[in-house]
Amino acid sequence: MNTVFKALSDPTRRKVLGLLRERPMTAGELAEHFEVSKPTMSAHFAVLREAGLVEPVKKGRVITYHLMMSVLEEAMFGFAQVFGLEMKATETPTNTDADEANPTETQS
Amino acid sequence: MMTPKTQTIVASSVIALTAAVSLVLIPMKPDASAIVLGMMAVFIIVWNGAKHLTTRKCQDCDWVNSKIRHEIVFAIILASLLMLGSISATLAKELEIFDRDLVKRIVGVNIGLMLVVLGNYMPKKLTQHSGSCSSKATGTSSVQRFMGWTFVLGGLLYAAAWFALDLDQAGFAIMFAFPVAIAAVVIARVAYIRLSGAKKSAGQSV
Repeated sequence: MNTVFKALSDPTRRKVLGLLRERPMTAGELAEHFEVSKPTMSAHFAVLREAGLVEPVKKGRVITYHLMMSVLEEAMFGFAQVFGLEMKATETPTNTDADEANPTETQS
Repeated sequence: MMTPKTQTIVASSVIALTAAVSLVLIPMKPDASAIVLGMMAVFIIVWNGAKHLTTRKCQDCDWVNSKIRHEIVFAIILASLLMLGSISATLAKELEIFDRDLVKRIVGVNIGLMLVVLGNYMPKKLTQHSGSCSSKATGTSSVQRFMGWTFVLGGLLYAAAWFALDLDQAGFAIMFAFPVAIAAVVIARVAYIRLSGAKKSAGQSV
């Protein structure tokens, strides 16, 4: 549950979840909505994946992310959206080992 | 999420406890005990069968197999808990600890809570690993989220009715639990779409 709170505490990750509520998207399509570097986006995806909120499906070199939130997690997401749950000690993802873990991730 | 080892321990404990309560109940309610013991035997067979059936070999299959096993054991735990609650309440009634009405309430609340748990995981589980190994996940659709929310709200209303109302009223009120839940989810969905549409158009006009 701690990983879910961590994932929901960042506005960028919440925006990613909001976009995935509309439809599954590739890493590239999601990245277009943010003005952050690709490694940073990959780190955000890694946090969401670790929390089990998204599921990556790899097809060739393209990874499509699907939303996988339970009802409780979706309710928590809604509360976080409304009340602006933020991390106290900001853990802004940077270029981390998440990229090394997913070398084939293509931002197409 | 429970690890496979924790799941095994929990499932074994719940099945053993349910079987033990059923064995104690045999002299008082042999038919009910036989049914529950039979179900526990079926659960054990399914559990062991799942280990052998989920051994497909292909890319991603380890992931798929472990997911299927995880979900089967999760379902067995839920079903066993439901039976444990009901059979324990029946035993308490036979031992004259609970009266008949309280047993009805406990079973009703138990069923409602199981619906909540089932609904909570429904959006997360339903479309995974359908078809071949390569289509390991197809994600959550809005239909599944709708079903999940309906089950959670309906289950809460169902449990609340058995908990708070008179038994006659509860028996009547539970007929409306799911229609009310569906209506609430539809209204919330429409309100969300309208609000997000209003936000988007406000953002464009700025």
